Amino acid sequence: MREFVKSVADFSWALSALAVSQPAKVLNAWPTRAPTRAATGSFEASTTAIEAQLDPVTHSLYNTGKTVQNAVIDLTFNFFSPHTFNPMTVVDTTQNVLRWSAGIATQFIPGGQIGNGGPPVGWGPVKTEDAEFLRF
Amino acid sequence: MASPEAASQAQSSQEVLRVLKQATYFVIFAVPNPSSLSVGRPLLPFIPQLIYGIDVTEVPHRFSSSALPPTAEKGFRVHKTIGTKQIAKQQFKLLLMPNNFEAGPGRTPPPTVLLPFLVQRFWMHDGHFDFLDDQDAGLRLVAAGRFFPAPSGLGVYAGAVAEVIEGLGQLQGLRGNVVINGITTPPDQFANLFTFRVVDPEGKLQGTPLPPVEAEEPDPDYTYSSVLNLMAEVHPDDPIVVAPLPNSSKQQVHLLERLRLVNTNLDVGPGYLKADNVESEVVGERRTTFVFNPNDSLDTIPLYSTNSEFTFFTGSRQPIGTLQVDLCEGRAFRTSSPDLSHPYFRIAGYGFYGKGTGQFKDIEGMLTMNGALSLTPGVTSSMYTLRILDPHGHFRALWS
Repeated sequence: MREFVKSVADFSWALSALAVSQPAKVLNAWPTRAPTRAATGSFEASTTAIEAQLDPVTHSLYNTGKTVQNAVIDLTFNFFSPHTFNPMTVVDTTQNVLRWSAGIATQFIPGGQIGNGGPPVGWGPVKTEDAEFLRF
Repeated sequence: MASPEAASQAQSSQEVLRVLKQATYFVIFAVPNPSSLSVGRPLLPFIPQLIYGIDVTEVPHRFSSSALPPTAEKGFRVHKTIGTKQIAKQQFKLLLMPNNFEAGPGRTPPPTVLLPFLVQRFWMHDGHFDFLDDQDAGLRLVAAGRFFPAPSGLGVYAGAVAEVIEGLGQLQGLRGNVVINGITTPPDQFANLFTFRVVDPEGKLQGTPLPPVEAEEPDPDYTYSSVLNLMAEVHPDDPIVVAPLPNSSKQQVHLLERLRLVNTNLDVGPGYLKADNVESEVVGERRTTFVFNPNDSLDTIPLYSTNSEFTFFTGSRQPIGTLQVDLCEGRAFRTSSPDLSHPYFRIAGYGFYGKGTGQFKDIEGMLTMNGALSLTPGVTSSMYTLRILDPHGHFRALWS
């Protein structure tokens, strides 16, 4: 039990030390083109070592969390990119969202005749409802 | 060419069939352009996965397909070659649309987000297909189709029917259709098979035996598909029967078609654009019922098929298998010819495999059909393309 407690404490202490050491790495590498590369490598190596200790069930859970977490991070970085706040992008996005919302809303209007593009010109939906009583 | 007097007389089936067969088929395989990938149009710029449209750029390659006559022991054995040679440049704009949207040229559907686990319709416009023949041969197209969920890891199936709205260069003035039998992981990964049918009364797009296709290695078709092309005509012993559909303005067109193997090849180069399609023995039949309104006032008419089944056999009528597959979406395009006293219909569509037996048991993939149908008299001439996902090579032949 003593060794187990020690190993848990060591693990916790190592994680803290790792976290403290990485900002220094970033600062040291600041003049270079990729100041975060060394720190990223350290975190990835540590993560890979921990992943190797996971059993299949926990690994699956970990992967799900990682996917969601990465999506949220990508979303956040994408949102704060300069392109998002370009006036043309804002106008286009607003128009798209309004038209998308209107399109969704018209789907709930009975009859399906509103917002459906207009009278048929031959490229509309192929209605196969009458096929049912033709089946062999 | 028949005189107007002759055309005004009742025409025989053989005479009409001769006119319907005056068409050239191109079968082409398209893959992504690594230097200019297709680009998705996101609804929100900071969520690139949430796309409602795709600006598609494809690289059509030279393509050939061939098949050995089927045997009772091995069934069909087919071979396809996607060439190293790029034969055209292709671009179009694809927009997802609500399922009830009446698409058409000049109509923009409301943004509809792509959900790859659902069946969704799309509209394609500004389609440019420019052949690299140094003489500006090209086609301008519009199309409607659907995405369908595909087996895990392969993204979605894309089935579509396209109409040629303008021909350029040596294709100027020619009418035709294209069917798309594709698999894609939107927006930029795809392996798309196109079957063009161009009305070609003078046969100017048909060539003598073309040089073999130099295969690209590795095979750019990441879906490991096999391709079986079949030419169909109405069975001479089983005439077309047209009957009204109860409680509807549509008609049921019952027909039994006879199927022949066809090997396809195509080449494009400076000053030429030629297809060499060679029909061989009868390998099966297809019973089907087309449902559409041939008296529709529009020239483009929605169509589907029902009760459709392929029956395949060897030259000595030993069974190979059967396959039920309907055209879930098709279009009929009313077309006139100076050689015919009545209009006929160019017909194109696609559908998914249902129940199969023998070699076709449990196969996955999609059928496309591109052809022509006359109702007066009842005659068809069509090409069916069965694209079969074949990772284990049940249909593939080992020959080069």
